[in-house]
Formats: sequence, structure tokens, C-alpha cells
Amino acid sequence: MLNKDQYNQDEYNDYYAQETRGAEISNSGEDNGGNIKKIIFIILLLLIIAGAGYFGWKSMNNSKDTTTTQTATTLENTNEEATSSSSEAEKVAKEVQTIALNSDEKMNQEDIANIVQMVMKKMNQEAPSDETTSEPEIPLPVSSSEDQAKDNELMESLSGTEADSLSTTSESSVKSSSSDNDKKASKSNEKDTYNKIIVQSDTDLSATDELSQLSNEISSVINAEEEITPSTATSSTVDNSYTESITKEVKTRTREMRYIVVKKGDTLGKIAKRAYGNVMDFKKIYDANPDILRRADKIYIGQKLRIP
Amino acid sequence: MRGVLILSLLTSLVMAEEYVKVKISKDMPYVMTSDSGRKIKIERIQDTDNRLTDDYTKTSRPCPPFCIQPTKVYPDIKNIEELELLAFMQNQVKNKTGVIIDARLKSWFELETIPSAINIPFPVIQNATRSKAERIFKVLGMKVKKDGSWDFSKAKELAIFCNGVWCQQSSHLISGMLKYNYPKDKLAYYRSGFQGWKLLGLTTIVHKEIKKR
Repeated sequence: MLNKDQYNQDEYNDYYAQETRGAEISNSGEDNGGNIKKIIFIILLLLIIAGAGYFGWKSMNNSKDTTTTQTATTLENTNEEATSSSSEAEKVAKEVQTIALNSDEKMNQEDIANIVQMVMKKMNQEAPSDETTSEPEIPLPVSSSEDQAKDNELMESLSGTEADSLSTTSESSVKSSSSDNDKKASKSNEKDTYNKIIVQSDTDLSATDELSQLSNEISSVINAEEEITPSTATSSTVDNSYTESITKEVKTRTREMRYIVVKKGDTLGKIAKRAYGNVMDFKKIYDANPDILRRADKIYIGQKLRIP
Repeated sequence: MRGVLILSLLTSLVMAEEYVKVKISKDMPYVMTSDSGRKIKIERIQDTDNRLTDDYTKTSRPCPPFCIQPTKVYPDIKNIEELELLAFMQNQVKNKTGVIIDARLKSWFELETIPSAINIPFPVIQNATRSKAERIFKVLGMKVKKDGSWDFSKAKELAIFCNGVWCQQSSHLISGMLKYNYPKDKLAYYRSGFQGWKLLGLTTIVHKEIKKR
């Protein structure tokens, strides 16, 4: 009897955990409390959606592009939603799981404490490593990226530190290989964090709107004038010296621009795109900074890079 | 249940769409304009921790020639600032009755400029003979009467800017314009200039990528 009860409870817990991960409802044929389960399921879904909405809204602070795609992905599949922006759901799942584990074994508290310590060490080192090996005893059938999110939750709930500050420190190492950054890079081809839009002047000639036509006409008039001026150059102007000093100042400015401070979300490719208009020119920057860059896919916020 | 789901998703989408943290002004999250045949959205940098690092952070240049400019470079020339310039973009530039003029040298213009601006380097006007000035003004909408005199009634309004308060280039351009009697009421001077624009984190345009020396 007792065994059976425990079995039931285990199944119940398993079912819960599956739900929160957005898995399919396969064995919901239980006759007891089917309605209650349904209601709880709906509440959980709403929570997930609220979470997704909140995070979409929050990430507007950083850039609009990221949120639009994020919301797009949430529309695509609710299952994906549960895994992508799932800290709410993860939290619930975690709680349920910890309760279940506590009822099973008392050792788990210590295990969790150990894991937290290990994760803390790793965060301090800021070195990405395989986390899956660190928790062999707790069966968590999720991917490694979710593990990290879970670890953050764990640390938040157990050690009382803020997850926000920890996540920012983990973000401080900019990994160009991560898919998230790649996505960002492809999106921000047109506009970067410095809010500059690169326009190719060569394409202007084919532009048909009045403004660019006007610009072209004026520049053609100006250029035509420049062709004539050598013959009438004897009429020296008042502020040739001023023009010269301004031209010199442009050089200063271009030289100023040849240093760049790495910011959050930067990759060498993005910097190269900004500087030369071509992502593949990242090699130039890499070669110019042998003392700073040891690997092309590892740059850190605050690094000052020479842009040749 | 599905309806509720979709509804909440949509509301979250709309919330995300509407929210701009750093607006231009209270009722103006961003401004649309065009440059080189492309639609450009002028907005401010949304990262509230962002600082200018290398661009336009230089405080000191030798004066002369880089002296602080007076508010009124010429009496009767209207002063405008960012909001007026944006309004100018949305009205005069859009209706093709006005144009934003970057008075700086071409090299400056190509490095970075304000969206929808057109470059007329100040020496061009300053050194222009009457016939060159006529050709340039014609592009700007001036008509030549039969007796050869100039009719500025259809000429475009110009909003003139350069690097900022330490930059004399606009003043030179304006003096060149006035030399040829361009109507004063059609000129406006954006004194904060490009540095002021950058300081607010507003969108800029790069017309050419920086070439290797």
C-alpha cells in the first residue's frame, strides 16, 4: 500500500515536471483530479506566457530587433517558448523537483550545496566549461544551456544572491561562437550599438528619390567647379589656413576612431563590419592586436583594440 | 483556452512593439526620414549605460581656429536645435521645401553625418564665382528671371550644421550664402551641430566605410 502510494506520488511529480518543461501530455489519463490538473496546466501556461511577455518587454531596453524576433519565436511554438524564456517555469519545476527529491533522500541538500559551490567557483573563473559533469546524481533531462539557467535559479533560491548580477558577470565574456550572438550579428548588419547606419554612396546614383537626386546634382556641380578652379586658382581665399586645419582635424578624428573599446555584444566580426563594412575583415583587427587578442573568438568588454 | 493564449501573446507582442525606453521627446519615440533612397529611423541609443568613447569626446582643440561660436553667427539667422531640426525633417524635408545642409568638408561628411543631410562644403560657396553660385542655387530651387536676376521665392529652406559649437564651418557657409543674397529667413543654424547630435545618441549615417590608410 505504502509502496503504491509512493509510486503514485512519483508519477504525479514526473507528470508535473514534464508539464512545466512544455513536454507533451502523454499519460494524463488519470481519472483522479483530471480537472484540477487541467486548471493547473492552464495556469502554468499563462505564467509562461506572462514570463515570455515580460522578458520580451524587458529586452526592449537593449534593442528592438532582438525583441521582435523573440516574440516571433514565441509565436511559433509554445513548446519552444517554455524552453527559451522559461525561468518562471524552470523555477516552478525546480521547486517541485526539490520537494520530490527531499521526500526521497536527505542527502540531496548537501548535493545541492556542493553544486552551488562548484558553480560559484566557475562563475568566478568566468571560464565556460561542461556543466553536465558536475551533477551526475540529480537526473535532469535537459540541455546544458538550461542547466546553466537552472543553476542561476538554484543560486538565487539557495544562496540568496541576485541572479541578475551573476548573469551579467557571465555575460562579460563575449563568445562569438554562441548562437545568440550570431543571431544578433546577422540582425544588426544595418545598425550597430553605436546607432550608425552604413549607406553605400555608390548606390546613390541609382536612387530615384528627390533627396538623393538633389544630393547628386549638388555634388556634380561641386565637382564640376573643382575641375575649373585650377585655372582661376589665383584668386586666393581668405581661410585656406582654416580649411587646412580642419582637414588635419579630420585625420585626427579618423585616428581617434582607430581605437575601439569593446562593448557588450561585440564580436570581432561586428567590429570589422563597422570599421570596414565587411565581416571577414576581422582578421585585420585580430592581426593588429597580437598583444591583446589571443583567440579571435574571445574578446572582453573594455578591451581597447587597434583598428588598422 | 486557445483564445486566451493567443490574446495574451498578442498583448505581449504589442507591449514589446510600443516600448521605447529612451525617447527623443515625451511624445516622440522616434522619427522616420530617408537618406539615399532608404527609409531611416532616427532613434536614440537605448542602452542607458552607453557613453561616447572615441567619437566626439575630444574637449580641446587650438583656438583659433577652433573657437567657441556665438549663438548668433549672423543677426536675423534663425537658431534651431535638435527638436526643431527633427521637425524640419518631418515637414520641410518631407515636403521638399527644405534641405538639411552639412557645411563640413566632404571628408567629414563621409565619415559620419545626420540622416537626410546633403553636403555643401563651405569653401564651395565661399569661393564660388557668381555663375557657380547660380548653378548651386538653381539646384536648391532658385529661379533665374529673364533679366538675369535671381528669384529666391521658390528656393528651399536650409538648416545648416557643422561639427558643433567649436566649429566655424557653418558660419563660413552662411556668410557665403548671404554674400549672394540668399534670403535670411530661409536659413537656419543648428549650433550644437554634429557633436550635439552624437551626444544625444541619435542615429547617424555613414556614407562610406572607413578606408585603410
